Amino acid sequence: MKYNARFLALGIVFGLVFFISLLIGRYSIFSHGLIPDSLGMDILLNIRLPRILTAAMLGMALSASGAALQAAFKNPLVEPSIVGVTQGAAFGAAFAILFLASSAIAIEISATIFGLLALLLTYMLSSSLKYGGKILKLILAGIAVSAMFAGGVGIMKTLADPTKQLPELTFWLLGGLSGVVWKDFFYLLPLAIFGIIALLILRWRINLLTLKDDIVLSLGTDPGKLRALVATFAVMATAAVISVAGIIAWVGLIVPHIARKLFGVDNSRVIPASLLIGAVLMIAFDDIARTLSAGEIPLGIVTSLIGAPLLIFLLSRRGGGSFD
Amino acid sequence: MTKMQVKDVRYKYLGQKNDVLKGVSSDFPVGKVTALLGANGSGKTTLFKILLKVLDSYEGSVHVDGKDTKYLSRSELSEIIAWVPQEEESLFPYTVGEYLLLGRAPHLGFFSLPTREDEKIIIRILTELGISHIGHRDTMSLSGGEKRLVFIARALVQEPQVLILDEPTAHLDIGNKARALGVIRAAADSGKTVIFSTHDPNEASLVADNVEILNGGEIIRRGTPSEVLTEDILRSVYGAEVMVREINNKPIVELSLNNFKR
Amino acid sequence: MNQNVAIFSAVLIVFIAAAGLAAFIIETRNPSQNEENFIVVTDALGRTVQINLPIERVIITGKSAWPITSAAYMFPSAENLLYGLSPQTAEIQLFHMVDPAIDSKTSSDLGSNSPNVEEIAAANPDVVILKTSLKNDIGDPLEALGISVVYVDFENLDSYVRDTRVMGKIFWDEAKADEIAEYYEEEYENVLSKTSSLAMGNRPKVLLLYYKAQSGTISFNAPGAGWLQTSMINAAGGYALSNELTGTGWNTISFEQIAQWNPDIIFMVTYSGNPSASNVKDNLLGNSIWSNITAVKENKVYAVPHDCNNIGAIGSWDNPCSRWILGELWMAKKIQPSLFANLDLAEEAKEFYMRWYGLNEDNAITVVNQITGDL
Repeated sequence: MKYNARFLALGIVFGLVFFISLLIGRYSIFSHGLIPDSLGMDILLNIRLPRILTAAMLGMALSASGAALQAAFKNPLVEPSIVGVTQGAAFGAAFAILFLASSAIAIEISATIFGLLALLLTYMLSSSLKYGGKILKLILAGIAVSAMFAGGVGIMKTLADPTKQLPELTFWLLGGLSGVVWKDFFYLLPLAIFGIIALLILRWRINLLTLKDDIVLSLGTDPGKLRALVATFAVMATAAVISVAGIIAWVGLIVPHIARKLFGVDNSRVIPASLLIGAVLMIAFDDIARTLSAGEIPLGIVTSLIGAPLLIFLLSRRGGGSFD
Repeated sequence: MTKMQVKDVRYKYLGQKNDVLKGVSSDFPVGKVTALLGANGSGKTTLFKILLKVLDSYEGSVHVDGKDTKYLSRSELSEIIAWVPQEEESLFPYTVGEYLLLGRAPHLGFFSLPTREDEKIIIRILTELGISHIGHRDTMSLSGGEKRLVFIARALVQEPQVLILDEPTAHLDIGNKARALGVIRAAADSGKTVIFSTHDPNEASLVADNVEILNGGEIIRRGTPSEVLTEDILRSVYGAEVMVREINNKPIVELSLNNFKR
Repeated sequence: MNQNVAIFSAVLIVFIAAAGLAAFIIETRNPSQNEENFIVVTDALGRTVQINLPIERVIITGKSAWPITSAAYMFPSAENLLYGLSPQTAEIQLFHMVDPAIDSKTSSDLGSNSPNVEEIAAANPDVVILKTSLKNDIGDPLEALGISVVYVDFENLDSYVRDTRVMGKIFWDEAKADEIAEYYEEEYENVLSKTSSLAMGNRPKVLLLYYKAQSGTISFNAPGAGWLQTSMINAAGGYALSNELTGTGWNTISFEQIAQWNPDIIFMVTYSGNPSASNVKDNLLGNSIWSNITAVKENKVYAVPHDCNNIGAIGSWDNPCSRWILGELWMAKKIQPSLFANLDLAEEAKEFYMRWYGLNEDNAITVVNQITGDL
């Protein structure tokens, strides 16, 4: 089937992008010949490798979550940062750093809880809106909840942080991987992998959520429970990466669209494809963020600058706004 | 032999004052087609949803193979009963094949994916229905008739013992109607218990073994088409003058011109 | 097909996890240590940092690099070791006098506010000095490369003295560090001893305002309660109205709040030449809305002295740069003139530049003469 060939091609692209990204950066590791000097090796192993791996995980987590949430809510315009999950997770992480022990576990649990809370708020708020169709309502509610939690991060940073424990507000709101070392990668790895693998396992059953709830019941599955389960795993994966990378938007929205264009709408293909495409894109975006100029560009700016127009381009073609 | 049995089922929707179903009792035999007639809003869809346990806070009981469905999980029930609802919306441009695969969900473990075997079943059903040529088509590009056949196929793919269809012929031209009714008859002949609702008494006459009339929340008549589809009964249920004739031992119902005095 | 996909995805994830695990093993290897030649310092975050000898290059970078640089230059040996300053530093007359070769030590890449870690590493520093808030973004990755990182704070007298001593070790001049520490402590004590007995209720209400005009929007900002500026005012015998502000950044203050406070004295800073603090002060005095504020009525609006050609915050005497102690003296004289009548700020400044920056008298006078603000 043509999809197998495309998957293979994607895999090769991923390998290439990964390898090339290791070789590019502000420091030219080949300045002393084909074999890097010891500083070059150090930079490669301790700066670039963890950062690229983190970027890959970031892309995978946000993309898989985006695809899963789009199916779960039958809404092609949602992703973690639109329904408030990303901002809620950032709030949870900041909250944990300030008020709870600053351990990785506390941060990730707090991020997950607040991410779920944000999603729940968005869902409940959207049901109570009187204006707009279902798709629009969810987005409107999400905008409100996202703004609230993003503002919450701001308040915590400016008012509650006299000893300057929290990273700068610009980190939270614009995102970035500039300080990533191996430790950060290991922090996010277990929870992110857990969430991603859970979504992978459910990748076919998620399709059921795109049918009317009644029909899903007649097929023997409780749609409410499945939706909650899927949402929980999506939030877990998102929370894990957001606590390390700050608020990153747009990727979870674009990547599933690209995946669907290449692989059709069956989520059992879309979710794995989103993983690959998400990893490739995010690595590429981060390459730009860390290499284009001497000063680091916040990653969130790169994803917005490139992602938003890309999305408009995708949506303005046949079927924009639906799942075509 | 009775496959499904309904005993004194009552149901009221939240916020409504009156019961929609006021004590419905019936039984549905194996390998036979039962047609359910009733005016708009008489509760046919509600009854179906109760049979399927899509609604589960009803009074009375529903039995399948002698077991009360209150004690069967939806998962177990879905391996026995399949439903073709009045409408299925889809925002997703699945291919027909992908869409039908969803019907295999009851037989797959929660974490499992469909296998080659499942795909073979899909191909078989498509062939039986004569629509294997649309297997790769986008579901959103199908005509009304093709869509309805795909929805029926989705239920058949569930390999159910009981098939429930809610107004399967609505909006279809006579060619597609014939196809849909043909499937219904064939399903019963192959041993399934089939229940379908319709507004057209002639459809009941053509393919049904039994006819039941739901009116005022109760089954007011049950029997063979000849027994049930009489001028008096139809007039009292639908409030319209009809003429019933018999051709090949089947009643044919026509609207009487007395309705349209010029 | 679904099988293949599952296998592929699983492989992808296993690959990433395996890469991570391999790296974990790599990371736990200890960086090579030259057993014999190194020094150990305890930095502002309480960490013990080992720095290998000889120290030939010190990089101060990131946000707040300027004030730290001004403190570093108080050590004569710093000249030979510093690298990676922002090019703007070289435009400042004072620094040019301190280090005539300063141009060769600037780097536009390293001198930016968000420098790239790889570039810092490529410049081969023996130690990098950073403000404490840069740990996550710059410090950690640098340490992952095995580069020694020392954090400094400089936000109050105690940390200033402590961090100066740390720098003394780095610049191989602990004697000088002791001298500097003594000087700051003495001068501060001189001020404090005269003001500490004043009851808070009897002190003039003093507000330090930072006027910021960015891309069309104008704001007045005040420092937070925990900032150097606030404690300087308190030590100088005033009641710092910013005691009441909790925010950790510059707090934007509305005119209403200023009117509500009705300060007796206003210290104005802009950290820029356009407009300079004096420009803003003049505008304020001519502005009818402000005319009801006590400080305006009594002509007690002062532009804080700036000795670096109005370039940035580095030369403003309220900032945690090396001349904050002069700022302290200046504030004391403005707030409690009767207690500090004998203070001659121009003289104090001249001596400061001569003693701590090694300027000869002529150069020192030149610098004093170009100090902007209300000396």
